Amino acid sequence: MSGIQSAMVQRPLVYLWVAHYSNGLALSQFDPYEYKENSFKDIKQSNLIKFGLYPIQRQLAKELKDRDIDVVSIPFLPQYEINLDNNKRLIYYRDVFISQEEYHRCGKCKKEFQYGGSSPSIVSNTPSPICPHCGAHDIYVCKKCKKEYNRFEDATNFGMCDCGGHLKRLRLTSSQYSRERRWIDYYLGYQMLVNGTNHKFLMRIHENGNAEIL
Amino acid sequence: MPAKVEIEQLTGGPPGSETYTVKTGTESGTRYYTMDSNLSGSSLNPIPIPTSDGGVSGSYWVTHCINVTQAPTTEITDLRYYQSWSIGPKKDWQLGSSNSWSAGLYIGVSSASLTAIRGSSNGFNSGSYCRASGTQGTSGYLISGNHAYYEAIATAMSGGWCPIDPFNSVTNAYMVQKGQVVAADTGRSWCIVTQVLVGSGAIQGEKTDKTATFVYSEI
Repeated sequence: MSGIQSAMVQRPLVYLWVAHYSNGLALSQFDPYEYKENSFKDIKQSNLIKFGLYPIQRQLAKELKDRDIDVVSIPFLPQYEINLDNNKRLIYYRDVFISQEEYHRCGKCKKEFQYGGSSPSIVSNTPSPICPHCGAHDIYVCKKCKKEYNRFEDATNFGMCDCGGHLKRLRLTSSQYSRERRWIDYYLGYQMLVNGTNHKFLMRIHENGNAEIL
Repeated sequence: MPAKVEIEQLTGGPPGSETYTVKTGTESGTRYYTMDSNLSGSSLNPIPIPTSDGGVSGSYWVTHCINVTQAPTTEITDLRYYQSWSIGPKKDWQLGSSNSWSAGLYIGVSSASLTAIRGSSNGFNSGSYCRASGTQGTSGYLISGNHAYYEAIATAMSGGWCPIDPFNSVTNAYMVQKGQVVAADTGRSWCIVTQVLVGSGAIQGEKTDKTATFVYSEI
């Protein structure tokens, strides 16, 4: 089927963090020599002068993937950095989304579509979606003579075919299937006290590199 | 390393012997039946529309959690859940007339306060799992008054269950588990239980496609 993602249990990272210290040293999310991941809580917050999110370079991505760490190198993604001092406390986390999505697949043209609130359906006592690609919908077929009826109520012989046969519903568009979609939003910012009041600056960075201030 | 996480549905029982089914890929969907089932696409035992004015038929309630199968580097926190309703379950899915006041999607909660539903833990750990039951093919028992965990809360705080509206984005999501779900370790989250109620006058047939989303924070 088109458009179906394979099952996954982990969304690849497209950004990694680097903590820059006042003494010129830095702690990277992934050790550049041994490729082990450092914990966020290993960052020495009091020595931080800058914290950034950077796209993963191709060679590093290869080394990490060879070690079963799922990352993707997208070099053209913009990088994001914030300058910090002792008054600013770093905020960083990732929100990981796992969606269970419903779809329909047309039994006639084999294309998939989503049946939304404004999507058309056939007017009937047993409505079914109208495929936006080919116009198909569920039909009723006589088990005996194979005559087709657009709607069950079109069989005026007390719900039976003119030949006396029983009708069978052919589910061309009303069968649903599900698939999973995952994505990550990266949150970066800081909070600081101003005149005794806590102020927070936070931005959300999407996997495509776009960001918004919250 | 970044965590590996799966969505699981809990069925069967008794509590302590429940079955965990991974809901992923093309078998990720949840369908509300009048049976205790982990199937994603069966047409067995749908929810009948009540014939008496003001009557209500319920699905069997459905229980989900997430399972962290590879530990995060630091921790996973704040597990939330929402669904993609444009108005709300009752109107989006035409679940019943105005006389059927209780038609809609219901969810087990630990408070009657909407603020607390969005900001405090409302789920339960698997030790409080309660198997869905009812009359198969006719109606499931309501969470309210039948799910042991929420029944106890309802007695104490007039909560126990409620329809949530709006309930369609991460900013108005239901909080399953506030705070740490797992540290740098594997394990399961607390559970969420949901149920669909159909009222008289509901429109039968195909319902619009919806998306259910779990969100967690990770560092």
